[in-house]
Amino acid sequence: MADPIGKLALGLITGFLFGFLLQKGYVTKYPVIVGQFLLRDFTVLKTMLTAVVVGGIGVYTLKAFGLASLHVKPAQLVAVSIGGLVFGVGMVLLGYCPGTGVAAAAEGKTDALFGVVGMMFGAMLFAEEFAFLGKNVLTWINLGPVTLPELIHIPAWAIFVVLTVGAVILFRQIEGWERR
Amino acid sequence: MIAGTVVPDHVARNAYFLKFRPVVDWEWMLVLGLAMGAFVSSRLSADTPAEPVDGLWRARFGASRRKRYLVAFIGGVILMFGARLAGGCTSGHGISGSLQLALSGWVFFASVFVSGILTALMLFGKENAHG
Repeated sequence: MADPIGKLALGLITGFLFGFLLQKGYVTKYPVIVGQFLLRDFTVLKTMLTAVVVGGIGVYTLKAFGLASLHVKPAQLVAVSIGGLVFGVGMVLLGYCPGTGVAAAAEGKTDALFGVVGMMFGAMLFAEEFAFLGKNVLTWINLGPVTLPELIHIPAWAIFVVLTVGAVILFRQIEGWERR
Repeated sequence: MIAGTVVPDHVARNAYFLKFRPVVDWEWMLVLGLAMGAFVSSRLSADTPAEPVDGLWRARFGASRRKRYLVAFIGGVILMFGARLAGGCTSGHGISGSLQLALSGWVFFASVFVSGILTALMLFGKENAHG
């Protein structure tokens, strides 16, 4: 056990709530995930953008009161963009992403279970290649753990105002598309 | 963790696991909780999967379970390889990263959507896209 019991319990409870809400939010369904990329069902985008706006305002508010710190992943631009492109192919073929795949498998969806086994193979395959990639792709154009406010010199609150207004306008537009 | 119990020697020699030691930490508990939460939610709402092969897939590729499961497996391999390369997934980069306004999160978000849309159009064709 690497973590104290309290931290393990917090992980379990957070995970339970996350899994429960993912299932309630309909994103553990194959046609919802694939439908997003066919641009006919925008549940995934709506879920993600809402989480980003609400969670972001929450995290930055906690940070302002000294109650939370950011955990920003390094902007390894080549690795992140190529990884994202590969990830997108896998997400459409499988019809789930890693989190929703585990959730869907737990619901009893056999295709998701095959996907989870595939994910373990993918992780092992990457582990084999890691020594090689670590010296190459992962280090190319690495800007470090940079955030948008640092990069474009606009305060975080202003970005969240733009994101919130943008999300509201986009969601209204999307509701129109989906209704057609 | 599963690989660790099955092939310990292999894992021990592996560069990736030397950096990220496979122990039961809070992230494993998170995955366990996630599975439990999804299971409880689906049973509470009686929202259990109705058919082994989804209608969208069946209309395009037929009702063969073997075919669907094989593609799901291959998709899983590609998905996790991409996540490892990028250093995160839909949750870690896409949501958690983006909400912290991390550049890496937004780059990942955009890359996944570009590639996902192109892949979906190639697999299912324009006639299946956008209603």
